[in-house]
Amino acid sequence: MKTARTTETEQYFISFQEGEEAAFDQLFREYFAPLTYFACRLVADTKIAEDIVQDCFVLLWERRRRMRHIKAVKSYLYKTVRNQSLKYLERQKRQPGLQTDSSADPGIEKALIAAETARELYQVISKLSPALQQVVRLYYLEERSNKEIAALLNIEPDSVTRQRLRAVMALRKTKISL
Amino acid sequence: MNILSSYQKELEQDFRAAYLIGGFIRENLTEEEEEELEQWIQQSERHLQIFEDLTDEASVREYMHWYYQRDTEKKLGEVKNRIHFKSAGRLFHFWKYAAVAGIALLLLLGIYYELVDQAPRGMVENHPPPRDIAPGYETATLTLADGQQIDLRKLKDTLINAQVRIENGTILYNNAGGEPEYHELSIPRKGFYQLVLPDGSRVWVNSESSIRYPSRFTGPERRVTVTGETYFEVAKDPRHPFIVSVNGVDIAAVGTAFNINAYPDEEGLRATLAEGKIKITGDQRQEYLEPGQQLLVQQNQWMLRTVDIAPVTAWTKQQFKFKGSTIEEVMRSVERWYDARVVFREKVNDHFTGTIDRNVPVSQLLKLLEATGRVHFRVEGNTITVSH
Repeated sequence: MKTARTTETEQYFISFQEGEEAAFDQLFREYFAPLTYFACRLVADTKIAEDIVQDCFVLLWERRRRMRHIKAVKSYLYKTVRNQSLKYLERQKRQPGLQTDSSADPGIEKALIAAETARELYQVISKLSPALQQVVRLYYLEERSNKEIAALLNIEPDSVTRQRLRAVMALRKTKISL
Repeated sequence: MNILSSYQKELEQDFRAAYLIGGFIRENLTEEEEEELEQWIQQSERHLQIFEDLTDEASVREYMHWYYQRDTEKKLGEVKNRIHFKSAGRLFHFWKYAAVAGIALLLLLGIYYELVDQAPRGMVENHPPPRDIAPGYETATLTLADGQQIDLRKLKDTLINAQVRIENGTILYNNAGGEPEYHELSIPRKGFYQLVLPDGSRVWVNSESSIRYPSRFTGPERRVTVTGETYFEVAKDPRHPFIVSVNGVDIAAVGTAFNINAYPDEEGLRATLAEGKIKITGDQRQEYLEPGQQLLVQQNQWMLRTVDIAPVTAWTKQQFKFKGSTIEEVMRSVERWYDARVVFREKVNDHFTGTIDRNVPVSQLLKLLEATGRVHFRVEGNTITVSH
């Protein structure tokens, strides 16, 4: 199991370095939202945060051959987003949204951990069947009741309870690999 | 250089903390990991604060909600306009490229917005709009060895013979003795059916498809014949291989799950493995499939490729799931499921990606496709006209 995963990661890394479009898409889909969350906590503006993250992906793509390992890619992205966000604030002559001036700032660290925690959870949720994803989303994120979900999805309230249980079981079973 | 690597280390610690907090929220940590998290929290007041803030239910909701609100596909499209990619190379990756080529839409999980806007369902069913087509439903005809035909929608409970009875529209085999006889289950357009075979294997049979099987499996192998689209979850029995014959090809399994698409109007026979292992033989060739692989048989050509399983098996979960599909592919599914006739007035070159429940009137599916602005439909009776 372990070896199979490693090979998959290695294969991915090769296609990333070779500049394959699909490799870019995969990386962007996984990291766009958490990086934007991270940036937004620094610059306090969603639109600006999105622009910064997009720029960082372009930069990364130009420098992809310098990356030694897939882990370096992830660190590069967070580092670049942080630096670009701070640069933006510098240009605006503003204090960061989190009132911080050093890289060792607790606010920055918290924003980064929050972004990554959300990504970890999202990665697991996205592996559930679409039906379970819908239930997770409606129940846990939109705080809808069983009855409302049943009406929305046109299923019995009892089966919402069952699906929720299945979703929870599935979330607890799935191990994320690093 | 030292500063850089120390920040690198700090980052990796933060990534690790996020992994542990994520696991904590899912109640999925091993004992060692719990201990590791404990240690991290105790390292500083700040860590404790971060842990408390991030595991608070309201804040989990807040950041997950924020996460879901991103329009990642749109932003991906924008950023890709600024990047030059090398052209697609290997045949193996055909599928991936096709999927990203012209994604016009991401319907993913979009259907419930539609449902909210709509009038209560009961009303819709009582007064169907004139320009709409109702979806398919569970229905099948069972043909016995003597030619007798049983409509499973009409006949709910009945004892057919010692080996088989119908209970609430479900066919049940009891493996009683006696000579096995051949049964054929056929599903019309606008129908589907889920069958449990005499050995306990489960089969999903899609619209315009059929399966022929014995009322009891005897002999060294378990053999069935199919047409159209079927999905198998084969009951484990290593001593009696399960063999599906389709279009002159044999697919052998021991205990496994796979999808077969053998519609004559599709690009070719497609066998896709979800779990386990299967061996495909025919035309003096053989091929073993690993999960996630698909064998495409086009006349004499065999092509092995890696695919995303979810769109292939979505129909067994009562869904349409398109991933970089052409409008022709989408409409072939529509024809079979809604028993509609599709006329193309103009060529549409975009690719479509998205998921929707199959259990909705055709207008809902078409409305979502139209929301891309790339395609337009007109429904009259059961004819659907496609244009720009």
